[in-house]
Amino acid sequence: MPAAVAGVGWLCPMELNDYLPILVFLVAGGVIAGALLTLGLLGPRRPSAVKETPYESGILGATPVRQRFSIDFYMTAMLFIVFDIELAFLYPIAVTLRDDGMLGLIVLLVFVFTVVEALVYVWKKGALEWR
Amino acid sequence: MNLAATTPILIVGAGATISLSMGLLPWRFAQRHGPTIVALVGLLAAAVMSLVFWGDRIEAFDGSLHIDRFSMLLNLIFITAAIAVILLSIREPGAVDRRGEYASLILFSTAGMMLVGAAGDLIVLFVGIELLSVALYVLAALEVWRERSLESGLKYLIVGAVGSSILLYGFALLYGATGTTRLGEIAEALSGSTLTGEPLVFGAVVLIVAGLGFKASAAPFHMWTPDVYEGAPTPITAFMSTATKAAALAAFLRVFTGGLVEIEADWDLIIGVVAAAAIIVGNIAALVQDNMKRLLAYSSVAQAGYLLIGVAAGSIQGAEATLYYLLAYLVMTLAAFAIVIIREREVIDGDTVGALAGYARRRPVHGAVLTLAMLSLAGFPPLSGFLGKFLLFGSAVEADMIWLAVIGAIGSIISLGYYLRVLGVAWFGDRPQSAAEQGLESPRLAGLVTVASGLAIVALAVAASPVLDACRSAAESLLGA
Repeated sequence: MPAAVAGVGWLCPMELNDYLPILVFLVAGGVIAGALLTLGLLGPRRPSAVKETPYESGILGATPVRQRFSIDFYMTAMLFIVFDIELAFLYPIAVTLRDDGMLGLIVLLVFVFTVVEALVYVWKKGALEWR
Repeated sequence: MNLAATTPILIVGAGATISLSMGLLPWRFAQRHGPTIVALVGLLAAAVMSLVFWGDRIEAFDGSLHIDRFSMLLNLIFITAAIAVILLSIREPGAVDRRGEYASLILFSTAGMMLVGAAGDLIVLFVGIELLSVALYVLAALEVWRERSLESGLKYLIVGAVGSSILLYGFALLYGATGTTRLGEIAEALSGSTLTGEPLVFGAVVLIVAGLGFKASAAPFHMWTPDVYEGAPTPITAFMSTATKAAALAAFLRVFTGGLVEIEADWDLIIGVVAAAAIIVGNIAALVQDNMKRLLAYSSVAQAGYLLIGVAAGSIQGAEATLYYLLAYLVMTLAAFAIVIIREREVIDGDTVGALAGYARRRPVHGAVLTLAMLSLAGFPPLSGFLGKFLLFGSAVEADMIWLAVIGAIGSIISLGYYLRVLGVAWFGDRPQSAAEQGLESPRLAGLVTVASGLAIVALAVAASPVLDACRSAAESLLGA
C-alpha cells in the first residue's frame, strides 16, 4: 500500500482505498461546479425585458410547448424497446450456441417462443393498431 | 439435474404464459374458464413436484438456487395462497374482461416468490423479489375505473421501487465486503473473519433490513400498507398480505439466518427493534380502524413484527417458529379475507366492520370460521396462532431477548381490542334493513375457501407435531443440514 494512501486510513476502511481516485474525481468536479455557481452569484446582474425572454436558437418560441401526443406513440416506443432488448439477448446466445449443443438450442427456442408469444399477445390485443 | 430441480418454478412460469394466451383463444369457454383452469392445474402440479422434492437437497446452478426443504415448504405456502386467491377471484369485477392477464400475473408473482424461497444468491433473490413485485403493482391497480385502486397501484409502485433500490444498495455493500453474491460463500467469507462491526458490513445489514422491511411491511416501513391494501381488489389484498409477506420473511431467513449467521451480533438487535416497532405500531393503529381491509392491513403489520421475532432470534429454533407461524398466519388471514370478499359482493360498503353486523348469526358456519380466525390471530390457546406466538416468544427468550417477548405479549393483549370487536359486531351487531344491498353474486367457491381455511386453522393446532417436525427440518436445511 502506498504511504500516501495509508495516511487516509482513518477516513475509510482499507478495502475502500481503491476508490480514492473516485473521491479525487468527485472533489475536482465539485470545485469546478462550485466555481461556476459562485461566479454567477458574484458577477454583475442587470436584467432587462429582452434578456428575460425565453428563446430557442435565437428566435422566439412560437407555439405552446405542452402538446398532447396520441398514446399510440408511447405504446409503439415501449413495445419497440421491450422487443429490441429481448432480441439483443440472442447475440450472446449465438456466440456460445455451438458449444452448448442441443440443450442450448432448446433453451434458445424456449426463449424465442416466449418472445413470440408476447408478440402474439400484443398483436391480438390491438396494441399495434394505429388508431 | 439443475433443470429438474427447478421444475416447480418452471411449471408455474409455464402456467403463467399458457393462461395468458388462453385468454386470447376465440372460443368462449376457453376465454372464460381456460386461464383459471390452467392456473389451478399448474399450481397443483407445482405443489406435487414440491412434495416430490421434499427431503432432497440440490444446489442447482452453482449454488444460486437451493432446492431444499425450506424452499419446498415455502413453495407450498405460496401455492396454497395462490390457489385460494384464484378461487376467491372468480367473478372479481377487476378480472372479468382480462381473466388471462389476471391469472398469469398471479402465477408470475408466485413464480417470483418461489424464486425468493429457493434463492442461494443475492441476485437471484433480487430478481425473484422484482418478479413478484412488478406483477403485484399491476394487480393492485387492476380496477382502473376506481381511483382508489389506481392510487393503490401507484403507491405500491413508488414505495416498492424505493424499497427495492435500498435493498439492492445493501446487497452491493455486502458484495463489496465479501466479494461474492452467493449466500453460501458469503457465510464462508464471514466465518472467522474480522468483518464483524465493520461499517461496510453494518451499513449493508441496515440497508437490507430496511429494504426487506418495506416488502414485509414492518414498521417503520409500513406507511404504504393500509392505503395499498384498502385500494387493491380484495383478493389481491389477501394475496399480498399472505404470500408476499411469506416471501419477504423467506428472504429475511435466507439472508440473515442463512447467509449472515456468523455476524449475528451485528443484526439481531436491529431486526429485534424493527419487530418491536411493528408490533406496537400495527396493534395500536388497528384499534381505531373502521374498514376491515385497513384493520387487516395494520394487523398484518403487527403480524410481520411477530414473524420477525423468529428472525431476530437468529437460531434454527427461531426459523422453525417463524415457518410455523407463517403457515398459521396464511390460513387465518385467508379465512378473514374470504369473509370480507363474500360480504363485499353482497353490500356496497362490504369492506367496513359495520357490514359484518349480524353476519355470524345468519351464517353460523362462516361465523365460526371468522371466530376461529380472529381468536387465532389474537393468539388464544389452544389455536395455532397461540402455538406459533408461544414458539416465537420462546425463541426470543432463548436468544436473550426477553424484552422482545414481553413487547410481543403486550402487543397480543392490545390486539384483543380489535379482533374481539370484529367478533362482537359479527355475532351481536344489528344492521338496519335499509342498508344498501349490492346483490352481486358471491364468488362461487369463496365458501369453500372459508371452510377449508377454518379446518386448516384447527388442523394446524391438532396435528401440530408433524407440522412442527416439517418446519424444524425445513429450518435446519436453511443452515445446510
